[in-house]
Amino acid sequence: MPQAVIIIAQLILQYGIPGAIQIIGLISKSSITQADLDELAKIKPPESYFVLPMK
Amino acid sequence: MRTKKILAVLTVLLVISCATTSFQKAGYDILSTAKVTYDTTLSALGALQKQGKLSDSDVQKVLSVARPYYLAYRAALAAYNVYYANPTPQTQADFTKLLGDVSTQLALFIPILDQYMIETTNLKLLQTKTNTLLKK
Repeated sequence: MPQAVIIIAQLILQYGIPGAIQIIGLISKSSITQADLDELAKIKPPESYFVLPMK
Repeated sequence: MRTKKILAVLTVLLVISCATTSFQKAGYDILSTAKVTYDTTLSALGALQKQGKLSDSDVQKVLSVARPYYLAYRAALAAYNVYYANPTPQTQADFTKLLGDVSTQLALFIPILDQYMIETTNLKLLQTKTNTLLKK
């Protein structure tokens, strides 16, 4: 917690309050993207891995 | 005085966003590991079948545990998408519940794979990670 305060204080000193808010917004934004979620959805059903007898 | 107030607000916002991001990341990591290990494991089993080392009844046995696991994964992913778009305590709880189902199916999947000498270290690691997140 104190470390977070120090980092925020440094950001404000260096970039001013609007700049610090913008940077914190960028940092706190999840690094997980929609493309990552689309990748998770590319999962094949188990049957597709095997040669199954014709019904 | 004004700076102190701004600092306090910013700190609270940062802590809240970190907590959300942390759960979001942990959930993503688990789903990602679940997908990769499922794909690797079933690919290995498919190769065994092509080599004639897996009978039709073996394949049916594998499918009987792989299907529920696949469906549980899909359901958990759908819940994760909802949580990702709208991270609230409710969507987080819904996702966590469905992740519990993945964990249950995983527990049934591992002993079957052990029978075919398929490497289950990653699946066991996944089980540990899932259970750790569920206990949070």
